[in-house]
Amino acid sequence: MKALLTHEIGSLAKPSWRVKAIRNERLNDKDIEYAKKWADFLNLKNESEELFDILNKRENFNSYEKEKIIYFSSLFATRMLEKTGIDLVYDGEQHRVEMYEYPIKNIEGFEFKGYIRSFDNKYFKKAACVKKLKLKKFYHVDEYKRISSFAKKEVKIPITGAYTLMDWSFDEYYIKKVNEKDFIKRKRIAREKFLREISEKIIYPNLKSLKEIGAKFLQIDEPAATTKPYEIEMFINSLIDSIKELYKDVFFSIHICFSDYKLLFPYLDKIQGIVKEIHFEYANRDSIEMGIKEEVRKGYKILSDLKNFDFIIGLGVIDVHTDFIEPPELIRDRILYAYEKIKNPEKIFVAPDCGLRTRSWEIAFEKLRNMVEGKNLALKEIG
Amino acid sequence: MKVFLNGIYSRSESLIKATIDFERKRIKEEEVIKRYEEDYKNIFQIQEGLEYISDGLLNWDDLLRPFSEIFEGIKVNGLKRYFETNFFYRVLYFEKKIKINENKIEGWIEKYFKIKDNSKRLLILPSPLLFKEFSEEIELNKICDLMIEICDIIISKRKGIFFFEDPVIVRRKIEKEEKNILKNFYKNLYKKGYEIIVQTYFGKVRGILNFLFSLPLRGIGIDFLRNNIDEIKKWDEEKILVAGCIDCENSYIEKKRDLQNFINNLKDIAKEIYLSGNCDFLFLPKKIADEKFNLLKKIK
Repeated sequence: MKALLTHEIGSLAKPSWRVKAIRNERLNDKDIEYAKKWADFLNLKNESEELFDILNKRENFNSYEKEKIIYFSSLFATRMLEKTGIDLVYDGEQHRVEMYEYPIKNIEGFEFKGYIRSFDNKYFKKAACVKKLKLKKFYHVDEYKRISSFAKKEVKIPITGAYTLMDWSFDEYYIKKVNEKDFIKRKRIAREKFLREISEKIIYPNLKSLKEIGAKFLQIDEPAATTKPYEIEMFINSLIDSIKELYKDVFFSIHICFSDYKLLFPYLDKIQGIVKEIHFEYANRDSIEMGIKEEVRKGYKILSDLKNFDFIIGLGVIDVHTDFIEPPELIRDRILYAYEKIKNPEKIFVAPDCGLRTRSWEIAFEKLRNMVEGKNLALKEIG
Repeated sequence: MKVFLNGIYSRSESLIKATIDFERKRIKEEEVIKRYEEDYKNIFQIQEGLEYISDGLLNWDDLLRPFSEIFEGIKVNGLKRYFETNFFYRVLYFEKKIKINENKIEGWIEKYFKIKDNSKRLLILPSPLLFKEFSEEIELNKICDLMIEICDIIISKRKGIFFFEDPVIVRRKIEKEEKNILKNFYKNLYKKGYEIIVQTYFGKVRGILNFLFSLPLRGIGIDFLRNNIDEIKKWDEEKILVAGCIDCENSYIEKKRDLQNFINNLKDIAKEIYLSGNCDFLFLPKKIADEKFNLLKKIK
């Protein structure tokens, strides 16, 4: 593997011209100017004539036009990531609503119940499993084909993992199928069944479909992995059930954020060799002071434990919840601290803590560009 | 049967949209305030006839965040998962000197402890242990001191019962020293004449129930999704039992008959019972939360 390979972690904000058009809201001058500004910046002016023609309609876009708008937001996002200089690219979920709603919509057996809060004024639309699950279609194939058709760099597709889909959903189906008086035991058995069904009938076929059309880098997103400490073994087993033999041909990374990672350690050896990269969030817990001293790099302490496993360390070096643009020197120091622990730069991948969808494109771009610059500075130091 | 609307309540879809639009600068502040008012109106409405009323803490980002506005010397830090949920708190970082900002008190109470008419308020607060769980660089006894200061301020402006939410106490071993600090804390509040309920959730009460009984509390809340009736057979009759019997972690609507049977069994154990959610209603979409809360009110 390339030393200090850089990648992003999935989501980017959706540009206002894409959001409004899909929601059937009227576009204003600012929306169109914004599209032009980025087309200019990304050298896509000539290729985007059709987009501007469509956007100039301002409203009442038909399905062909909406499809084209999504195509262009995907193209813009991919080019934007390429321009930052990162190694693996994606389109920041421009084809998806978000990481939960999108897969759920493509699975028969779920019913959306409404919005709930995840933090501050952030929400997600939560569904309940109400009947037996069935995959409606391989829901990442078209997305992968499209992005690969214009990407100039290797594409990595993130896919929401089985445990997270299960844990973020209500269960009105499996719980009723279990005949057990004790509610806690009943709930546990129901969740095990629910999880196994998602792993084997939903996630595995999706991953396999991506492998079959040539995907080489797949990232399984599992932000819920450590939510229930007593279910971590269940989560690990679900990963194995989801990947099966596919690890022989595909590079799998797993992304987990805002979690108590130490809870995973007793089980990680079970997925060594199956999952190649383990990506966590670190910058969110770190200080923004320069240096590689222990007291400064307090967000990266668990590396001392992680170094004992045979994984590539996916190192979150950008805090995705703030507009603060991490200077390259800070990113360099975060990487150098990790290098001190891991010793092998090929065993470290550099990335943001999580997807950048809560940041504007301007901020996301600056952050990622500095990330690449920081990586280059670190490489110089490492020699 | 008496009912408490415990914890943070769910927001309506129109309020959700308004908070998103406001953050993205699509609408003005007055418009969000208007949406909040509509939700408050609705939340007071669904509690019509109850002894203690809550505003559902709709504008609380989490149970700790309001304290970062009233105390000087608190920094709001990164996200930390709220126990077994998909909800995140922000950790509060305490700098050395913590001081209440006297000028903000009036506005702070108005903002975070809304009341309808002259109603008695359910004064929901994080327990000291919960506060500690999501804070950095502060000791438990210091948190207790701050909480007492805050309780004094609140009670000078609002009448009601203090309702401390405490998942921590049933989720880990509480050390002897911590128990002593908590004992002093609740004793101090009791001496001031304050009525206190400690609502536990997300854990089993078996190991801590005797300690809770030893505290001068008016009542104790139990998460009956994680505890069965046998575990509280020897209830302290002087204490209110807050029965967290509605599942706020799943969307299916309980059968009224099942709930009624369950409550009938509880009646032999405790003299005074209030019903509530097993945890915050926040984890349910509002439509389902309303349906579940209305069901609670129908139990006899």
